[in-house]
Amino acid sequence: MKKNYLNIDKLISKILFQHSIDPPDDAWENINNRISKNKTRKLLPIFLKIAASITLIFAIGSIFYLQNNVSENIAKQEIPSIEQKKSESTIEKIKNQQKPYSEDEKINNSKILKKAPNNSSIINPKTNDKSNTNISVPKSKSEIIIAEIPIPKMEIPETTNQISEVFKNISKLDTERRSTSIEIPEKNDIQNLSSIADNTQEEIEFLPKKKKTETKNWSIAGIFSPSYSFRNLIAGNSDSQSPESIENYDYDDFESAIISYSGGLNVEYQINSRLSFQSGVHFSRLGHSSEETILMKDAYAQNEISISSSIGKVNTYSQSGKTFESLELTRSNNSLVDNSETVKSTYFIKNNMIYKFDYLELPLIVKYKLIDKKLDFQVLAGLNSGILVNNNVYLESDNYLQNIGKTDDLKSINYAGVFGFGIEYSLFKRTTFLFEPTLKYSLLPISENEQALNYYAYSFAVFTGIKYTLK
Amino acid sequence: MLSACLLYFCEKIIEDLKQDYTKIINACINNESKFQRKLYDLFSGKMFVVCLQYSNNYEEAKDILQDGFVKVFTNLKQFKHQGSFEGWIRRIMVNTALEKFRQNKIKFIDSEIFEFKDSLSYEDIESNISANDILKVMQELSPQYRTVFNLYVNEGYSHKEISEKLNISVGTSKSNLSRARTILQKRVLSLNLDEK
Repeated sequence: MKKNYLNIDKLISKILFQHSIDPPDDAWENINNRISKNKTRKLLPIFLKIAASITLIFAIGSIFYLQNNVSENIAKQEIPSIEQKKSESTIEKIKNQQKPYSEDEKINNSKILKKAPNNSSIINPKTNDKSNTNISVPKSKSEIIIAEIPIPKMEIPETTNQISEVFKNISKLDTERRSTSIEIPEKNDIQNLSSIADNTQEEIEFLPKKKKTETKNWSIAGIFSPSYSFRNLIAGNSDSQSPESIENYDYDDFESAIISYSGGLNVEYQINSRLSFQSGVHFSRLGHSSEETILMKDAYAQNEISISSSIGKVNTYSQSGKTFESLELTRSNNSLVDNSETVKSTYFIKNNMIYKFDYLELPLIVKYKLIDKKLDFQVLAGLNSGILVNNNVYLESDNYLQNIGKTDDLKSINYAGVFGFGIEYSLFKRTTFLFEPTLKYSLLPISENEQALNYYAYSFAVFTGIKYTLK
Repeated sequence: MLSACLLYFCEKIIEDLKQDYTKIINACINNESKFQRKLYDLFSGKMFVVCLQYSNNYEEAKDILQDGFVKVFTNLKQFKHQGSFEGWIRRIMVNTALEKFRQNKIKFIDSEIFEFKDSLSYEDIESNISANDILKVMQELSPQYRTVFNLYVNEGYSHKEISEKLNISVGTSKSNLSRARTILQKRVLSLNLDEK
C-alpha cells in the first residue's frame, strides 16, 4: 500500500515538474494595470511630504511676518514721524496765556495742578477742526504743547468730577487718534519736559492703563519622563504582502508595550502672553516586546534564518551559519523548536524579545495657554522629526539581555504628530516647573519594509522639568 | 581534468543566468515595464501549473497567478539574491494560494471513493496520462485534501508545518494526505482505464 502512495506522489511530481502551461492572455494586462496603480500610490507620500514641508515653511514665515508687522505698527504709533507733523496744515497751535499756578485756587483739589510745576502752564487748545487737536512740545519754559487731545474747548474744571470726566474723554479719544505731532524741544527745555512728563505720569494714574505689549521671551527647559511605547498595526495594501506575512499572525496576542524613557532640552520662544513656539533636542526610545517570536528558515537558501516580528525581519549579528547556533543556545533552555525536527520553516522563540528604536528628535511645537495665571494650563501640538540613532533587538533569558541584531529596513527618519497639554507653575521670577503629558504618534509607518501590516509607533510620556526664562 | 573544466563552465553558465536574473530584477524594481513583462514571460508558464495544482478551476488559478505576480513585483526588493529566484516566486504563488484557501475555507465533503478491480503499474500509467489529466484530477479533490497533498508532496513541508499553516491538527493533516492519495490514485487509474 505504501508503495502505491509513493507511486502516486512520484507520478504527480514527475509529470508536473517543469511542466508549463501558458496562462490566459489577459492575465498580464490585469497584472500590469495593478502594478501601475501601485506606482501612482507610491508617489502620494512624496507629495504629502512636500506639501507638509511647504505648509510648515509658510506657517513659520507668516508667523514671523505677522510678528514683524505688529512690531512696526506699534513703533509707528509710539514714535510719530516729523513728516506727519509738517503736513498737518489744518492744525492750529493755540496757546493760552500763562496762568500763574497760584491763580488756580478753584481747582486746588485737583491732583494734577497740585503737582504741576510753577514754571509750566496748561494751555487750552483751540482748533478750527474739532476732530483734531494738538500737543506741542513747549518752545520755552512756560509752554506746554499738548498734542492730539481732541477736546474742542477745554475749560478749566472746577470740581474733581469734572476733571475725571475730562480725562475719560482724553483716554477715549487717545485710542482713536490718527495723527500725532511733535515739535522738537529746545535744548534747555528738555529737563523741564522730562520733569513734567514724570509728574504727568504720576498724576494720571487713575486713567485706564493701556495694556503693555508683552515682551518676547526666550526660555530654555530640561525635561524628562518615563514613557510607554508601543505600536499600532494597520493593515496595508494586501497586494504588497510579503510571502512570510501572508501567515497573518495575530501579533497583538503576544506583543506588548515597553516602558522606556525620553527627555531632552527645549527652547521656547514666546510670541505673546498665550502663544509660544517650542523646539529643542530630545532623545526618545520606541519599540515593543514580543513573548513569542517567529523564526523562519528560508527553504530556498542555505543556512538563512530570519526572525520576524510585526515590524519585519531581524538582521542577526552572527554569520549565517552561526546565527542558528547562537539561537540553539536558547533552544536548549527553552521550547524553541522540536529537537526531533530540523529547522525548516516556521518556529517560535519562546523567549522575550525586546525591540528598541532610539531616536534623536527635533520637535516643532505650538503651545497655547488657556489659563494664564500663576498656575498656567496650556495645550500643545506639533510635528516631531526623529532621526534613528540606534536600533537593537535583545533576547531576554534569565533576566539577561543579549543584543542579537537589528531590525531590517527601518526608516532613518520618523515623522510624528505631537499632542498634549501642559501645566506650568511659577516657582521663582524666572523659574517654572513643567508638567506635560504628551502623546507622540508616527504619521507614517516607521519601516520601509512593505509589510502587510504597517507599523505606526507611538509613545506616551508625562514630562516633568524646569524652565528658565532668559529675558 | 575534463570534469573540472565541465564543472567550471557549468558554474559559469549558472553564474551568467543568475546575473541575467539580477539585471531583470533590478530593472523590475525600477518599474521598467519591458523587463517586468520579460520576467512574467519567463516564469508565468511554470507558475500557472503551480496555481492550477492549488485551485479548483482555471479561473481560480488565473486569479492566484495574477495576485501572486503582483506580490512578486511589489516585493522584489526583498529578494536577497540568495538561493533560487524561481523558488522564491514559487513560494509566493503557494502562499497566495494558501491565502485564497483560508479565505474560502468551507467544510468539504469527502469525494466518493471508487473501487477498482484492475491494477496497473506505475510505468503504464505514466505513459498514458498527461499533465492536464493530473491537474484535472487534482482540481476535483476537495480544497483541503488538495492543499495538504501539494504542501507535503510538492513543497516538502512536514505535517507539523502543514498543521500550523492550515490551522489544523497534525492528525488531520496526516489523514487528509492519506485520503487525498487514495482518491487521486483511484481517479488516475480510472482515467487510465477509460482511455484504454
